[in-house]
Amino acid sequence: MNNKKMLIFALMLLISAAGVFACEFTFTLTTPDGNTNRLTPADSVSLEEGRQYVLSVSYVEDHKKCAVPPEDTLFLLEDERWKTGKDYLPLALMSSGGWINDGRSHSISFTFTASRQGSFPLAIIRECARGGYSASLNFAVAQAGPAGL
Amino acid sequence: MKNKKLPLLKISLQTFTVLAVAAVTAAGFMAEKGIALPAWVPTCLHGICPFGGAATLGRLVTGGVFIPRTGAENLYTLAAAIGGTLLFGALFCGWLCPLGSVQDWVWRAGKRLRLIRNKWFSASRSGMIFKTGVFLTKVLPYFRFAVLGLILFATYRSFNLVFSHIDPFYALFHIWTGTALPLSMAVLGGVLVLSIFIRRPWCRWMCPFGAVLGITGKIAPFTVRRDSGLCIGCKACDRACPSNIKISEPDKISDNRCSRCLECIESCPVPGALLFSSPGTGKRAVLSPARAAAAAAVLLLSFFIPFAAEKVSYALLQLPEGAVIRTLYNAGGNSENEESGQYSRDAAPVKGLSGSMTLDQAAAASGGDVSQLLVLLGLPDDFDTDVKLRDVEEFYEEKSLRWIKEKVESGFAVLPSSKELL
Repeated sequence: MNNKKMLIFALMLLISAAGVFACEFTFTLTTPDGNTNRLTPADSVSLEEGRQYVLSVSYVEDHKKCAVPPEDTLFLLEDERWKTGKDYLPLALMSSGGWINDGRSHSISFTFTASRQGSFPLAIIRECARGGYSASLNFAVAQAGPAGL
Repeated sequence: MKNKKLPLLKISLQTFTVLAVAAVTAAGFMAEKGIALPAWVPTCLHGICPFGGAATLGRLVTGGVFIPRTGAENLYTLAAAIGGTLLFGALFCGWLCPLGSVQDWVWRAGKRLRLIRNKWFSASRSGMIFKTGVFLTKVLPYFRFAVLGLILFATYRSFNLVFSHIDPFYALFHIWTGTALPLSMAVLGGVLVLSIFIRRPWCRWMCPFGAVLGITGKIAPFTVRRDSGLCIGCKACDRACPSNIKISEPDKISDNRCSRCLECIESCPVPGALLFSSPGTGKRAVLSPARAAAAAAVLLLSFFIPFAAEKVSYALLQLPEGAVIRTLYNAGGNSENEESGQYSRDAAPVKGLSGSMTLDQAAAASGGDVSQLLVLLGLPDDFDTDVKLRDVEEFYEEKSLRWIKEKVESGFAVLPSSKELL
């Protein structure tokens, strides 16, 4: 394969791969023992009751002129806004770091305690006439093991 | 004798499709700007993107949920496209795809303006082929499958529509709306410039949906068939094929690159030597250019059936706008997208209160009057009743959704309605 062919092939690979890595929303969960796991909305995430976790959310703007600021992203738990001070929610939010904006990339992290057993979807919604975004992370909270694992 | 009906039919259908897609995009843009449009005007094409169906299928099968911004309507259009392809091959690519049409037009314009005089190109009608023709015409088309695999895998892993970031189709119709991503516009620009020299470069080398249809179309009964008894071996068909398929050799074209454009038939000097037909030699069905165009038109119209059902239900049955598609959508087991999808313009009737209901809707659902609800919740008379229940706490921090629900459940039911008061 001569240089010209290689160039064409590499260019096309680069273009298609660029899209692959330009994901809109990514979710990672840091467990109490410091492990970081990538979450996908279709999967169930196991948590242990009474333990504290950190959820990091980041996204890349989907449109050239994004009409919805990061702060308007909704995080809904049991149908209501996920905020600090709502201790009655099953995933009690302890603190939120606020949005960190870097050009078209935005990220935020939440520290929360799994305070009640059960299955709880956390909805992430960006309401927008251009399509918006909506996904749900499914947290399954179970009783902590005897060794606290 | 060349068939002169075919180019006219095809250009008419391609132009109609491009204009229809552009009109719907424009309607969506106008709706976003707050311009009132009749209820029957579709305003968004997301729902009829068949590749959206392909992209979400993996997660739907394994996890039971759609990825964001896709729904049952995407599966419907995917099924319509696959169904049409199983019967007629990749008619969608050759006759309907707006991006394919625009690439065709750019190439024809380049040819007419004699822009191609580079020594690296030969003068084949099928697009100016590099001297390294085998690589471009036989090897690179398989790159579509690599793109398809990469996108499906990444979509499955990331739970996002990753293709949208490089999608030149979206960029083509959204340049002027300011919503297309720079990368997708760069891809579109590259595709259009290449189209001056090479026929349909995106379709041939990159299009992941073309890869799906190409493979599906291999088993289609209706395809281009050659009568070796009539064929004079002039190879006019080979030169005409935009995908550089050797039409003059096999008796039946089952190449995954064939887009059923039928330009081989158009170019054939011997009537009947090449036909778009079903198998057999006796009573086989032969599709004339007009019938092929009709099949493509039916395929196009079938994409709009979910929209038509939606609009009819809205206009005639007085169902809430969005109800039909939402029903289709929820039938797929996905409720999480309901609130942000472009079809959820009004909340569907619900039994209990939900955070996405407005105060007006909550009052109606509870069988009462909104003014009473405002009193009950301690909100001022002039409070915007279009505010959603879960958003009230943005104005009054203590009035969370839970607080509102408890308040309504305990107090609203016992209050007399305004009709009773009268």
